[in-house]
Amino acid sequence: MKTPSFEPELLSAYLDNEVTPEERLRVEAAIRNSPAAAAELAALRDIAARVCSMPREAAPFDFAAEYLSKGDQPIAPPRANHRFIGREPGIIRIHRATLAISSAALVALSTMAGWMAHRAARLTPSDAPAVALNFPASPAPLPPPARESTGGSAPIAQADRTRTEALSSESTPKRKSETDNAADAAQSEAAVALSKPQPIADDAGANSAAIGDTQIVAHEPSASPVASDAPSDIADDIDLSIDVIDKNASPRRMTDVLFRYLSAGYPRPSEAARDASSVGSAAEGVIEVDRERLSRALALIAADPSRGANVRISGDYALLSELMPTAATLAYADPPKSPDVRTDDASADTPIAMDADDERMFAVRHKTTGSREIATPPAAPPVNAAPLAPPPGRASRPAAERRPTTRETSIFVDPAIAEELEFLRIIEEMKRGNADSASQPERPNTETKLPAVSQSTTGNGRAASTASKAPSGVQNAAPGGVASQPIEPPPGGQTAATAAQPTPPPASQPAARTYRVRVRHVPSASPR
Amino acid sequence: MPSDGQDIGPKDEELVRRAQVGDRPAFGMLVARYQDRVYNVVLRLCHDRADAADLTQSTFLRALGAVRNFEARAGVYTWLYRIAVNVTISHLRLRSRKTQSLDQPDRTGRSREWAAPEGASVEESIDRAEELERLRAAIAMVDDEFRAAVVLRDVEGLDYAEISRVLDVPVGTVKSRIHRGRAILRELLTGEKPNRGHEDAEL
Repeated sequence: MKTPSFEPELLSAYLDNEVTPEERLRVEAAIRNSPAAAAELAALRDIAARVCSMPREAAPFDFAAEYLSKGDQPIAPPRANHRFIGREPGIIRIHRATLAISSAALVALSTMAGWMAHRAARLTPSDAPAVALNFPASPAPLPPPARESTGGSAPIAQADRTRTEALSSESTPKRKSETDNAADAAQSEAAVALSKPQPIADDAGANSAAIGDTQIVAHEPSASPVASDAPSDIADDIDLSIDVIDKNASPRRMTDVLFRYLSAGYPRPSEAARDASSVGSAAEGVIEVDRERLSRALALIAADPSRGANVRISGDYALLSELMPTAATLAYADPPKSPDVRTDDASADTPIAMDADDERMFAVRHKTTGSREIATPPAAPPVNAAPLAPPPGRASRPAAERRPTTRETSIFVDPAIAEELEFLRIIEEMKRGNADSASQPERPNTETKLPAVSQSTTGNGRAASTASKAPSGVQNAAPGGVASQPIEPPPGGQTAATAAQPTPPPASQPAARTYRVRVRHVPSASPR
Repeated sequence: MPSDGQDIGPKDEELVRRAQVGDRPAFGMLVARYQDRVYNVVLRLCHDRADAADLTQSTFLRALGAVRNFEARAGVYTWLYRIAVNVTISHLRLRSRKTQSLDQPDRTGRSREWAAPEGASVEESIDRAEELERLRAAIAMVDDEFRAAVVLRDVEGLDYAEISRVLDVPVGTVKSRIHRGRAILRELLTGEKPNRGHEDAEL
């Protein structure tokens, strides 16, 4: 018997147990008799399961606190930044229209006045009007553009620049319509910059770089003494320290994953790392890893969220700039121009440290000892900033010849900003690194499943330079190769299956430079 | 459906009664009980944490203003969901007029939802992150009305009658919207269009 076509939504309803007994019989009969219906049901079940598997989040604020703490007070008005939902009241629309017209008139008047002044200034005596307007013969020198200003006035300069950009975009109706969001973002940045001209770090000597809608702040490190002569807590035999800072949740999972990953493929982990699963509670362990694995682990830190935990990566600047070019780029937007990031050995006594006190901040702090040099404020770090050009003299120095110094660089990577670090780009780089390390130049470049990556940030240049620095296994990398292959193989071209086994690096290859990495759990109460 | 923590402390109805006579802390307890769930629904609908926080706040403010008129025929959570969905959809419609791309990334770190299972390898973590990102993007592309139905069903686990009350539409419409929403998601995620072959299946 050929049945009339039944409503397709019955399949979903059947899946949700929302059918009548009669409908159930019909659907089950259809599933028995029609492979297509069975496949359709399976597909719907899969989709439902996938949606259902999306992790839940805790509310970012305790909305209840307002009500619980103010028992007898009247209803609080909406927050200042509360957006109108639905249609705005008429009076507000009228006020906004009036404000817009007034602003436009003001801008027009200012523009006209400026134009007249400019035109008058350019007038020569011969074409000057008969009625003297008494303009000066030459215009007063204009102040340098805010974009070029540097030094201690950086916050104001940055704020002015941001404000100027915001205003210029706003005063150009054509562009405004095209770049509505960009103008809003610029205004938001300007607002942040103007309203928060204080440095990110609470102590002096801060030279902070941030991303997203946070501000860029710099001031003289000599404004007040900097307690930078405190000895570093990184021993000389440790190349890198990864501190998982417990804030309001246990970072154990992250430390576990990190150590398990770092220790894979190495037969002799240190004593502390022998039981990887206990690292989270053991608080500290040291392990030797090669560059590839370390680089990927650092990318994991930036990518993998561990709610409530911050991660501090401390180590030599040159090493970090190699391992975390994205982070270093964001932290040091323009390192060659920064007098604080010096490259000669004379600066070896100048510790450099990055710090972040704001949870959403990706920040850098330079500490100096006895130096009164003014840290050049880094330019606004675009999210797709160009890759960091390593300071001359450092990049060319082989990693194996690095001397232990007191210089320290700390990068705080908060999970909340992994988004703004362009997670996908990091993953892309990881994939590229994997593809490169697989030493398979014949592998065709396949179209990645991920969105296209900006050429300026992860193009061939970076890939080539990264490959040139890689100790082994990546020399034959295809520059710019972007593959949608699985993440493995690990360094040395192993497969995913073999990578899980403790296998020493191939003897035929030159011994790769290894790094001693300390992973530890730092309670939030501990001083950073 | 049991509410979060409803087994502990006063029941919802009791808290509502106290809130209706001006007991603000009682309303605060309701907020504490439902804020995570409301926030998650709003987040799944609007895909922006900053907006979701604002809209959640707005939801509770509206609820506070309307609690005196609340009749406990439906559950409190249904009432709160209804306010949240209405507030969010109004906001989305307003936002859509501003030509904001749905592809625009969440400004506040969607990475928090990329948590891999306990003990997952790096590869599993990355795969999970990619999967969630694809899923998130696909959900964002589904029409508001379908998305709301799917989220209430598959994320919040409401039954069709409850969804019907939240969305203020007949159960048949809920049934249709959920199926359409899932079919669209399937097409977006797998590229496969729903197979119509079963419509001629023989019993």
